[in-house]
Amino acid sequence: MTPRLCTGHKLRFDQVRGAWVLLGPERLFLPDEHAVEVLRLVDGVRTVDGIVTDLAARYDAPSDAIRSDVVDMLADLSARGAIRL
Amino acid sequence: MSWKAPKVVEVE
Repeated sequence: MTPRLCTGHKLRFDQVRGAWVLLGPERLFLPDEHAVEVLRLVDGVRTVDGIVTDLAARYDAPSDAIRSDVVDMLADLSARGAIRL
Repeated sequence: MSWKAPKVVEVE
């Protein structure tokens, strides 16, 4: 499974909010710190396994726990039309 | 660093 942002969606740093946002047509998503780390790895090249491996190397948590959270988040954004799995 | 479940809020 290789997730990618849907057409028209971009991860941008919003100077006004001082935070990263996922900008889409007519809407935007406000990801928290950990969601930003996941979204920065969603490049259409990395697989979910690759994303989890990268995060597991940086965070003190079992890979299975990270995988579960990442899959849930990506599935949610996919259901909202922001990410294609 | 500690890990917690990522959250995304949709949005004016």
